[in-house]
Amino acid sequence: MRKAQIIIIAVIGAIFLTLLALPTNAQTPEVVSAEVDRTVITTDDSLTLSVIINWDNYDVSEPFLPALDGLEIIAHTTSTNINIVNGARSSHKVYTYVLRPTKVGELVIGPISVSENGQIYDTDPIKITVTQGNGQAPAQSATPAFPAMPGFPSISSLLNAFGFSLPEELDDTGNQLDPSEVPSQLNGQDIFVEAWVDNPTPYTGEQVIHTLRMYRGADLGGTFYYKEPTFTGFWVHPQTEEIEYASRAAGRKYLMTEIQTVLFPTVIGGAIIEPATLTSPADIFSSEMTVSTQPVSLDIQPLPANAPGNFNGAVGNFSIQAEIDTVDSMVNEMVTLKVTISGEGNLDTLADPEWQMGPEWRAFDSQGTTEVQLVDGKLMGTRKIEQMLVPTTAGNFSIPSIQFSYFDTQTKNYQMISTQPIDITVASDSQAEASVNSVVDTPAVDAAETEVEIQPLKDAAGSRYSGSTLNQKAAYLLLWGLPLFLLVGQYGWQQRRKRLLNNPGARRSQKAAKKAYRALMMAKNEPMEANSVVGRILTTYISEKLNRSIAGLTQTELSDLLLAQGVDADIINQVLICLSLSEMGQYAPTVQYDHETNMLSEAKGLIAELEKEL
Amino acid sequence: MKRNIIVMIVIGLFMFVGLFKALQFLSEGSTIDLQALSTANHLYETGHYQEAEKIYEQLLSQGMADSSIYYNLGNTNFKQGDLGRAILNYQRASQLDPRDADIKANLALARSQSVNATSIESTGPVQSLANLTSAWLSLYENAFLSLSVWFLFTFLILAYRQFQPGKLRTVIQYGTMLTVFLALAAGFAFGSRLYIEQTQPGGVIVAPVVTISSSPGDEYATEYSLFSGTEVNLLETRGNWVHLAGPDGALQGWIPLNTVETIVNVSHLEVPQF
Repeated sequence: MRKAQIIIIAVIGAIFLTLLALPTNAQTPEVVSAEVDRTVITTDDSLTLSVIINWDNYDVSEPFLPALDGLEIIAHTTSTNINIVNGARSSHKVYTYVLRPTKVGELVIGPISVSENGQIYDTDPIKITVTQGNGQAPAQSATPAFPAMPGFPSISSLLNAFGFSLPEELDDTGNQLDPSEVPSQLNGQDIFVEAWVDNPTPYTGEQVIHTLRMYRGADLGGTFYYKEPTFTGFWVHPQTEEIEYASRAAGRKYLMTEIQTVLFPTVIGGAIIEPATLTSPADIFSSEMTVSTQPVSLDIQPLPANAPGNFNGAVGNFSIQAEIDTVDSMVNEMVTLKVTISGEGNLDTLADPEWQMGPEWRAFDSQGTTEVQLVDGKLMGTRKIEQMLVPTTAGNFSIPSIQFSYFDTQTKNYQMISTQPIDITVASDSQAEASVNSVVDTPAVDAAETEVEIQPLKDAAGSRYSGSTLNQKAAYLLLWGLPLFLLVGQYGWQQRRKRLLNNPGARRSQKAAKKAYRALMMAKNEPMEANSVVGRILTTYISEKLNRSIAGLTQTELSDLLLAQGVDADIINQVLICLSLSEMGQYAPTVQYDHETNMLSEAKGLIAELEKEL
Repeated sequence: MKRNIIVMIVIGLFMFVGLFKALQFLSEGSTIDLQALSTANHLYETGHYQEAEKIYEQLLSQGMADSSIYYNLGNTNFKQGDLGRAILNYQRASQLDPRDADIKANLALARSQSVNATSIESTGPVQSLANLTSAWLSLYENAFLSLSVWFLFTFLILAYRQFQPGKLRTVIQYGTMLTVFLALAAGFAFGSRLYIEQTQPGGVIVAPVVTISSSPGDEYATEYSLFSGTEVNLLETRGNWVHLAGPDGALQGWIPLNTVETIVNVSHLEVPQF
């Protein structure tokens, strides 16, 4: 039998291990990809290399570009794209490099790497074919070398306005900064950083653009460390605009980086944007140097108190439109209502407007999509909400006007905008069928398909239990272990039982209390004899518990014996008193009935106490 | 003896009622919206397949993963001539209710219309076992059955150890031996299905036609193509490409991710799934 037990345990173990060894799920999302706008260019052209990083995980590093043999970087920008579909946000950070070929032939942009938590991810190599150009002006690249920015002059405007000619060494990678924009503190120093907001007195919820401009001497090498400012009291939009360019200011050529961050104040009153810092690396000629911006102070205004009832916090400038896909429908035919809110402002955090459909409509849950982008330093976009409606009765109906309120930062007033009501005619089923029969353009069904008989639809719930989800639940896996616990428990219990059977003393000791309680219960039926019985029951209990006879022991010996077993002195005293009273009662049976009952109760309590101690 | 019988009845009740209740609790999902299902069915019956499809998909997106909805959605796809998605959704319905005659019939019909017109062949003993089991039992039933047999097996062991030698114990001994085989069969059947679903889950080509590449990338395209509705095994994903084994089990290659969808939910593959 021992052999059979071993086999059974081995089988149980094998099944358990098989289940444990099942493969676990490991996600391998694409972290980085790279693409170019074209793969065949001439030496007169430039091309745009976009490195797209899945930005859902903020631990991803900046891309490490390989050595670009035959290509040089002439501009670099960074942007973040965000899409929100049905509440699910996906974002990508795009590093855009404008490259210019320096030689003819087949060129390869090697794998571009990023690291995420120590793991390196590479893009696939990209092959470029470069042919000899005719020396004319470069073709327009998909992304301009210097994206237009508000408040920042273009090369041509500077040339026209100030009559400057580009210094030869700057070529097309630098221009002259507007003297009015050059900070007086710059003064030709190696590094400098400044920050400002476009509106220091915004309303709460109003968009504010924070611009950070960093200057690095073009002749300086090494890695510069930038610590971004803290924006306490603001909701920070994750989409930022970053631009790098070369420029001449205060008599020196600088490499400059501008980062624009979109902020929405969430507090009222004074708010301070803490400084950002820029640190230059140490070298043999100079030590490390850190410069920081001044704190930027804002005075955030509360919104006026006379907000409309349906105002839900929208601040900016918006428009609203509604449309349906058909104005002639029929009972049970689905109609899609599309509501679009467009404009400038906090679209990301906007609550959808609410509308009620009449009882003649069955309305399904609406689904929304938000698309925003930074345009000319303003966050603009659309929020599209789609709702499926199914008319339940025939007739002429009107989809009611949908109202939307926002605070207009231009007029500084609340604005109420609304959609136009939409009339719709719903035909009954019979009308619809007649119509379908008379009109040729019924929904397309392949003629071949109508010849084959497919089984009809099901109109009741079917089987819905998915094993895939069941076995992924920890509770299900734990259920597999439950019988093992029962087996272990039974084994332990049987071992204990066997031990007791082989040791009569231990068995007696274990059952002593139970036996004593039973005897006390029986003694209750004959209260007049309880006095004498209590002493005997107590003596028998202690004898069996200690597995030795205590008959004939003096009180002192009994006391010492119990003390040696670790019993509390008070309990020992009570035991001795109880035994004495019992002995006295045995020879003086005049004690009252109530006293007898009390003795039984006391003895029961003493046994319970002793059971804890022994 | 009598005491032991009472003890074992109590333990048996605790084990099997507890098992049933625990599985019932673990399997609870959202209630199906029968009114929406009826609306969608009406739209289908009046020939408005696109609208019906939208409602079925909305019901599924709300967590109502029901074989009837997948089946009806498959019918809607079929009527619109989308054989790939029709086969995909019939397969998903079949995963939940493999013994349903209507689902089997429509899946067979859709396969017969597909250009490749083949189902996934068994390429080894593990997949053969998984295919055999999946024709009769849903994965949930398989999970339930294997756990129940495991409980029965351990219950019999407990009973064997509880009773003294005698007739009853001999009967229990033979019952235990029989249950060992049942437990092994159920365990291997369940394990093989989980293994296949996680390592090479089934998928269906949903693009009209897709060319197989020998490596991830358009430049490695071969002369082989798969058509909508072809059932394949998916092996791994890399970037925007998925490595698959063709219907005959021999042809292997890479296709773009967006041309195929998995039949079951496997989180380690970045393929569109339900």
